[in-house]
Amino acid sequence: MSNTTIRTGLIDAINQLMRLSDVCSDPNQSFELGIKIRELFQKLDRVIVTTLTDTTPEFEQALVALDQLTIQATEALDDATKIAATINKAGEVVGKVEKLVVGVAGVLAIL
Amino acid sequence: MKKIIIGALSVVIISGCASNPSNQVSAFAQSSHAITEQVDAVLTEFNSASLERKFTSIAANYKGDHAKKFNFDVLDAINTAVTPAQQTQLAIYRANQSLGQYAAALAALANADVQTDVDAASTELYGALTSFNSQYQTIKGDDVELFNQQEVATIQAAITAIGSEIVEQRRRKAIKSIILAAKDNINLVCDVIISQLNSAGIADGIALSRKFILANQIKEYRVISAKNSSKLIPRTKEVRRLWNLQQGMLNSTALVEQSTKGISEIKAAHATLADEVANDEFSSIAIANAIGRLQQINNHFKDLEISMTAGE
Repeated sequence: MSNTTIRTGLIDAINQLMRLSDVCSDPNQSFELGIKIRELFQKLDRVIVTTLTDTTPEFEQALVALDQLTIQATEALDDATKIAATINKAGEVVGKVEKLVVGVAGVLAIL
Repeated sequence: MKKIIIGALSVVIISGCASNPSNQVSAFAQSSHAITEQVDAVLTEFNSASLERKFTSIAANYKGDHAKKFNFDVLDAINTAVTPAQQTQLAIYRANQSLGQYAAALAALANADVQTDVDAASTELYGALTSFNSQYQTIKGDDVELFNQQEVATIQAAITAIGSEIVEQRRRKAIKSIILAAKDNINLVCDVIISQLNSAGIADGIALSRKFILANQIKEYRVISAKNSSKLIPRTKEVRRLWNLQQGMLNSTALVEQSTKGISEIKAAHATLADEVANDEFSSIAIANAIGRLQQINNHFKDLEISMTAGE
């Protein structure tokens, strides 16, 4: 199923961001991380009930960006100076996944 | 195993005592219908976990200096993952509903006492067959009907042949025609539902939402427990609650696995029923065993439900 890779990418990224949020001591960054986690979760909800087209460049770009986000979040766990860049990357990923699910109406979900 | 044998024996005893020989068909259909309702509960749980996650996320985020940012817009952004309208558009939901409708129609026919009961069962069955066709075409993306016109006509003719006076012989003949005509197609529909349940990742979605909720509650526990004024007994109570939440999270996968198993069991039981009625056996140990397994699945669903809601 074509949504599997994006789904696992989102799950990995959210898991790492949750770990990062748990150790983040800056209230503002923690707030921003919370928002990004929420937005990524919303994309995950959508991906689960959607069949995605996996042959587009956008699909590949979203996959790559998700992997990069997970790596950045992992690095930020040991280096707090990387948290801001991770938050920005999360915003970019949200946009890329949104491109995949936008316009895929509910009628196509889980089909 | 012991429970299965007891369950099967109970069905045989109940069937044996009943005046209506189609009673085992009814028992099969009712158990199958109950399982399809539980499969619907998977989507409900997906929605429920998603919604609870959003509440937790906002409550965890808008605190301290950020509390003043909490407003109507934040609340407006909260929505269910799948709205009721969207849910009715999901092919897996519709296919499962049709399976339940088919089972309900069989049960109604097996229990029909008067002509109006037969008419109602006939209407329900026709609705299920039409819905099967529609969902199958949507899922496959072509115009091939699951139940072709000839199969539908055979089923309708069998029901019409029951006539105004319910005679058990004619009722059994109708039930036999329906089950045999539907046999291969029920297999296909069950396979499609199982495939969708396995590949959609609903269990992952439920589990991760529950993990997020638990992670935030653990964080809150740390804050409260760090205070010197915190007491052991309330803390212990809270640890127990968190442990229950964790068990529920771990059972998210089991809920979907159980649904898959339930549909597989409906498929197997229907095949058994078809084999038996083909030989004009409407009450047998084989059918009773199949019903026993369906009832076991339903019991397991109830246990899971209790486990998943513990700690909430």
